[in-house]
Amino acid sequence: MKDSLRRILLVGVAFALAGLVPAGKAGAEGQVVYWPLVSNATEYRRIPYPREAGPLLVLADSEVVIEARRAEVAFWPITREYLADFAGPPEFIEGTVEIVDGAGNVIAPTPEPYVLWYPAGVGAGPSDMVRGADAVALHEEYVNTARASALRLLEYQRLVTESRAAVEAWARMAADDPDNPPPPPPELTVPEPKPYQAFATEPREAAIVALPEGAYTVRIRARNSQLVPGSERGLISFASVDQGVGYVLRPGNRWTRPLVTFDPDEAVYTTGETDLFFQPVPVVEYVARRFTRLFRPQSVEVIDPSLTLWVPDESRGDSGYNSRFALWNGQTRLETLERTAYRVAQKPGRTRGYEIEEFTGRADGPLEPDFVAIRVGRELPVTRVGIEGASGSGNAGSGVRAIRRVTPVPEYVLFLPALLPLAVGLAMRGLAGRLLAARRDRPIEVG
Amino acid sequence: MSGPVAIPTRLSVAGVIAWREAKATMRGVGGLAALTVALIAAIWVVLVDVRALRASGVLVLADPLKASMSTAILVLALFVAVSAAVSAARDRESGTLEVLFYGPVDEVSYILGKLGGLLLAYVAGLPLLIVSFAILSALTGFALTVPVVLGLCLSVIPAAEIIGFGVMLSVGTDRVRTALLVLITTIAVLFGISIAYTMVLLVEIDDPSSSVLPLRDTLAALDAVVRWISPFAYLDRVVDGAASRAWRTALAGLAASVAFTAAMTAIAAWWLRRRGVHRRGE
Amino acid sequence: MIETDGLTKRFGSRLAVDGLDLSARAGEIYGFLGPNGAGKSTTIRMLLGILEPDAGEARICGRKVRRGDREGRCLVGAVGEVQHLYGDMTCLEYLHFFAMLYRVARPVSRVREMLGDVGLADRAGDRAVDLSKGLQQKLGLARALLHDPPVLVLDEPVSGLDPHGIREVREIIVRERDRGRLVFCSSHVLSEVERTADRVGIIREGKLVFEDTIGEVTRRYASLEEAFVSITGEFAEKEGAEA
Repeated sequence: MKDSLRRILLVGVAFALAGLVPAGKAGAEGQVVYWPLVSNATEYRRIPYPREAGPLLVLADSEVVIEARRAEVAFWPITREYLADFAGPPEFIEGTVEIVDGAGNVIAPTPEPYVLWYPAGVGAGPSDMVRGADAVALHEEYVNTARASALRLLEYQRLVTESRAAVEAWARMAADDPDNPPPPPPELTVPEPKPYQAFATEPREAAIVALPEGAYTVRIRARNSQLVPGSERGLISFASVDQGVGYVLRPGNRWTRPLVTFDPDEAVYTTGETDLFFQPVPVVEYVARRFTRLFRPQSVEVIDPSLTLWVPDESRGDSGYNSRFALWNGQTRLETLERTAYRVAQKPGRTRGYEIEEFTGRADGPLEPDFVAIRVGRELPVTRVGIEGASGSGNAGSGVRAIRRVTPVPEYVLFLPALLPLAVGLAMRGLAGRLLAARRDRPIEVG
Repeated sequence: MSGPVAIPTRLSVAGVIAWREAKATMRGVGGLAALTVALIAAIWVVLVDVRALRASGVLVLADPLKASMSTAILVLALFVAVSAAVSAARDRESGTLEVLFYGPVDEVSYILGKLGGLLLAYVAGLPLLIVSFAILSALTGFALTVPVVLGLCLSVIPAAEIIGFGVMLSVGTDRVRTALLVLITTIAVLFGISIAYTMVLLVEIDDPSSSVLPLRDTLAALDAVVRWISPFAYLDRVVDGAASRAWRTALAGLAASVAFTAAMTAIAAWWLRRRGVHRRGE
Repeated sequence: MIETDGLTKRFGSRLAVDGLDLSARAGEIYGFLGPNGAGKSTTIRMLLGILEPDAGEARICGRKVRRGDREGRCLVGAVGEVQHLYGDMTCLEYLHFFAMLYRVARPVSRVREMLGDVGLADRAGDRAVDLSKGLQQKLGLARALLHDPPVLVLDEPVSGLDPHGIREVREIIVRERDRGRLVFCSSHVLSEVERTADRVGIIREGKLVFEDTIGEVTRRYASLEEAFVSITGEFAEKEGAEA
């Protein structure tokens, strides 16, 4: 026994020591590092792919910019990743990008200009890629619009400064001659111009492809028709598994802290204390391991290969969500609702709190609603909600969610099921005792 | 003097031993106590979401009873592991092991009997668990979903693997106390590595020369090994896989559990044959 | 019914059983004697197939004894010196368990029959571990006879029993012999062996040094005790002289 334990310990130590050896070379190594601009259906990001990062991952049918640079690559032990040193001047690899599909067909996209367009601003919303002549035109328009907006802002600031100076001068004059103050300067009625949030990157030229689902090889052919050594790399284009409708759910009593439900297997549990506001969001399902590696290809996180995740799909925009939203109680449809705009109104007076009311767009009110949603009142005995399909039925693809109303019970009551085994055990012992006593009382007949 | 009417087969002998083992386990207080502890632990886990719902008024959940069911199954698995670890050691310590081998019992039928009996006891507890969870579902309002119940049903196969592991340890020891010590140490090491790795990952490392790095990498390697050799890792894969609808993982876990069980059974039978059946000191 | 041919067992450097050749026949009580550490228990374990010999073989009813031979085990009923019992079983449950193991026909009535045979009918519902040593010994005998084996192997069957217990066990043993079974019995209580055995074999330091009928023993020596002391002492002298 002791010998066996000793052997097991030795094997364990050997494994442990193996774990200390880094997976690759410790020193920096120059190599071809792919640097594609990939999208996760919400935003675009540059993802470095040294050789050790494995095949490039892209979403099927999404536009991807394929570029490569030469850089030193070293192992960074803290994140356990191979990092490319892009700090110095970029050394782009000249040549034609070729993408070979499983059948051996070669796609060699012609480089074209592109820009990344952020209509709501960087980090404030989705981004789009615009290519070709449209890219150049968009950038030009952006520059002109941004410039004009900046000028308007400057002009407004000048007017504000002038107005302040005039008010200060009038105040001084009024102070000098309080019995006979001069007329005050006119109020500034020019509205403050809205800041221009949108952003477009500088146009660059590169190879851009949108690949259907499949496995490919990407490589670079130099001007001398030879393949650039070390440029061959795998590329996997993966598609979504399913599409559907998810929701951003705003409880009426905590509207600033919304919940999300993208996975159709989720249910909404409510104590019935508040109204629920459902904002439909187009969602798409991906294989979790691939999707999470899209922006972090060298992630060491262990993810089950058969798990999927649901994420918002910005590419589908708001289409189809003017459909009606149905409420059911069991199989009985209660009513069908439309999306409505709401505003959050502070309650007047010393009472804190707010009310969520329908947005009417009055001249004396706010110009925009706070959110647009479908209100499910707390009084309704709803057990199921969902976007109504064309046929009038609700199915998983149309965002059906179960609503479960829960009546809280005292916590000690929840521990009652734990007494069940004891109750069963006592009952069994009582029964067994009676059987044994009956058997004892019965005389043993000897043959 | 003609002997028994039919020569008992290995399977029939294993069946008799299994039935006795199952009855002894179910008759004892241990099984009911384990079920009670399992349910208390499960309810404790579900209280987190109950309190969150009470505080916020709204909660979005896919399988609210998944974590608590996994907890209950883990507690039961620990109980059968302990029962398995003491089973053969107790028979050897009491001398009943040798008496069994006077009869038509060989190493394989004995090990299969122990495995079958404890598995039967485990299965017998499952309906009680399902009923308790159904009551808990009614009290909390949280749905008891089909995948979660399926995970519970499929847990029988990795439970067999855990029992096989425990019996294998038991065969190698002479006394119940030693068997328990070996099992507890093994479980502590297996779980300890995973817990230690999880905790080290929470430590922020800024400097590549930090002494935490080699520790983290060692634990990562050990954790990877533990995921392959720990019978509890397969239980996790099957139960969580089914509950999360990760069917490929659940099926792979089931296949691995079957192979692991066969291997543990074979090793246990071989080891018993090597060590013999008499009490130490006789 | 029992035959051994050069049966040998070694534990490390110690030779526990050394080329043992003995034979015992049906319908007799064979007394297997020897001083402490002579190799009696090792021989019995090899006969029961729970210890593998290093050389030679043992045969029971002409069938070679092999580990894991279920059919072979059904030819033998064995009772150890100490009855190791299950703490949670009554006498009835204990015998029923073994009856099921052996696939005895009509196990319930067979168990009741055996309980009656050994005089434990009124203790059927009692826990086996609560019985006295003598009654436990009788329970062990009942277990060994459940499957009606042609051979009974008993290791110290009357050790630690009071005179009543000894007498009861003796009656059972003699009765089984009269039914045609071979009763292979090791014991230190020489007076009992002398009273009940038909033949004796004496083993010392793993070797069979004497084997003959009780009649022949009492003809050549005053008693079996004298024969035992004389033979084993003589053998020791001979070994000493040879050394």
